[in-house]
Amino acid sequence: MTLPEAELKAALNRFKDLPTLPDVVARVMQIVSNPLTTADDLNQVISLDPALTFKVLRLANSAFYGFPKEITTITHAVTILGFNTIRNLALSVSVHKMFFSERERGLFNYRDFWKHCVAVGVCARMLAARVGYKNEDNAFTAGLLHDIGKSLLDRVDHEGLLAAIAESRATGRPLREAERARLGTDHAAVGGLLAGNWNLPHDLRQAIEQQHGFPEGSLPDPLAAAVHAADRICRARGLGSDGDFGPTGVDPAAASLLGLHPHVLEEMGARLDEKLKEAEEFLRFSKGG
Amino acid sequence: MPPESDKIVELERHIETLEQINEGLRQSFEELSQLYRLSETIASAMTFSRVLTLLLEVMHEVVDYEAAVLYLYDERGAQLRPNLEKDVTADLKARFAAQMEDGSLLWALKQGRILALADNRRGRADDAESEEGRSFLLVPIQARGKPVGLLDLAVAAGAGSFSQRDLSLIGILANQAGISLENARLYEAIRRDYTDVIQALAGAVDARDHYTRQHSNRVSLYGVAIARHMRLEQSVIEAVQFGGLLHDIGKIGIPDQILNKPSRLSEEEFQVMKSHSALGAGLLRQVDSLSHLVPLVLYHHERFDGRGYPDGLVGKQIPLGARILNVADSFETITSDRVYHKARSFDEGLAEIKRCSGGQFDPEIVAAFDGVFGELTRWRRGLAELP
Repeated sequence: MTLPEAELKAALNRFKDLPTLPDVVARVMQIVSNPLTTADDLNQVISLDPALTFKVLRLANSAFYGFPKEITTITHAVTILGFNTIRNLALSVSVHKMFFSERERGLFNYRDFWKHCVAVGVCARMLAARVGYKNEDNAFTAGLLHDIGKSLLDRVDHEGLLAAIAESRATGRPLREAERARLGTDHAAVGGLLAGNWNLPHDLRQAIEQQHGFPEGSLPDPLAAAVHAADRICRARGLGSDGDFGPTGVDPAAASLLGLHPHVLEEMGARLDEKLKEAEEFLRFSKGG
Repeated sequence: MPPESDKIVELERHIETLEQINEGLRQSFEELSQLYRLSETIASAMTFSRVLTLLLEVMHEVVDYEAAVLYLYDERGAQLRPNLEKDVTADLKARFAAQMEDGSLLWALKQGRILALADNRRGRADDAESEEGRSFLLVPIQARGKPVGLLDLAVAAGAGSFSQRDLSLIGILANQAGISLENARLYEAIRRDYTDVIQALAGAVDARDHYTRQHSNRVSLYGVAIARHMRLEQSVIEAVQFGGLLHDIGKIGIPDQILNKPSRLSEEEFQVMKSHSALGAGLLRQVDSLSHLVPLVLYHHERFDGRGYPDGLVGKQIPLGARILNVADSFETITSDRVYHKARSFDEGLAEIKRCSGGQFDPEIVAAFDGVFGELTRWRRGLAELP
């Protein structure tokens, strides 16, 4: 399955000029990793960007988080929802702006694509909660961002990606393999590269890299397992579209780690639709908000 | 600039970085030590209420709070109920109550994460702008992922002024308390079961002979009174309590026609009767948590002068607990109705015990018994009212 290291490196050279995170978000990532940071510190940084502030607050007040009263400032949002969640929101808002802005070309419908990402986020969060994973919100963000590699491939080689998607659709071959054949690399590897470049937390990067499978002989990380399973579940249920028409089965090691028995999957399906409604504010992103 | 001075500048920068790292490590070490000490303190508490009290004390070393309310979670009603308060003024009381009403407390509990709410003095607790002033820290207490309670702290600092490290330190202590509370709950439940099982066993013996109903209970009470009067260790007092309840457990193995014989026992029958102390000891020996009672049960019929059974031990050879039980058992028998005699009064009982001091009984124990006799007489009235 894995490409020879050298070949992958050569292919990745095409992505030398990776897009960088906006300064504000890079700064947010940096200061949240410092344990001495306070909510006031985070407020000072985010407030420098009024558009970001506005979007973060709108999401913080959405049904998805369900705090019973109105959250009016970033400080307030941090003290209520936590440092991690606000960091994740700032990151998601920026990544969406960079990659998922309103565009519709050929086979790749960005609105459906974003819907897929939100659904995977919501589903990954539910799966993580099921196994008592300590930070559910990280699972949501990992799901939301798991396909950033595809956006990057699209940016660098739009025609190549479309051809890979067309092939996957016509033959049922996993998109990842079609990408490798045509582009010399795949969205999981490129996404991981981007995550590394942006200094995203290690487990988030790993979840992006391992969305289609885990290193031989090792127990999957719960976060990576949740994102992988969520991706497959959402594709099987036709929630949004990500251009991948390969098999939708969940890796057995991940399924066993997450306790995914057939009846659990069915039960989750119903709750997933409900939770997706709560996450509607995230979907509205793609309507230019 | 010559390369030499370049190197010096670089070196100086490295030294500065190293000093910063060193300072960071030193601080981390101090915090870890503090955390460890405070966690140990909480973990040392054996009872539920003690854990709660200690949590409030220990938290004070981490956050300098003005006032605190500790809620416990009622699983059945899905509600938080106030359990402990510290320094809550009338003014603050309303603010604490408001957080319950607007759902903030239950929300924090459900999230399992610490919330900081700003308190502007106009009475609305949702304005995070007030950087100065007061805020409330809502600290959920969990055990194994399940809510146990919530600690609400009023702190004289802005809601945004807590660092991630402050919050995680508070969270770790709250979790430690959660685990300790769970342990205390389990321990208290096991303890209750232990006592209940012993009571049930004692009841099984007494049930075989209506003359000796309540006998084991009373022997236990008298024994404990004596042991307390002698200022013995808690563990010894407890052994006397449970040993008293179980001292006749071996009678379960004595045939009915001997145990309940209305006339005097023959020599042969008396030998069988005497085997009850060894029989009882044999039963208890099989139960790990009761085996420490074996010496008390085995030797409760030994006499100070060496003329008792089963081994004819003399004086201080007889375990202390057994010497105490012997006095308690004899006094209870004298003052109760038996097949072979009518109950005698407490005063007559005391006279008989004193008469046998140095013979059947250890004079030290008799003296202690004499010391609690007044207390026992008052108990007698309470006991008489038992069904």
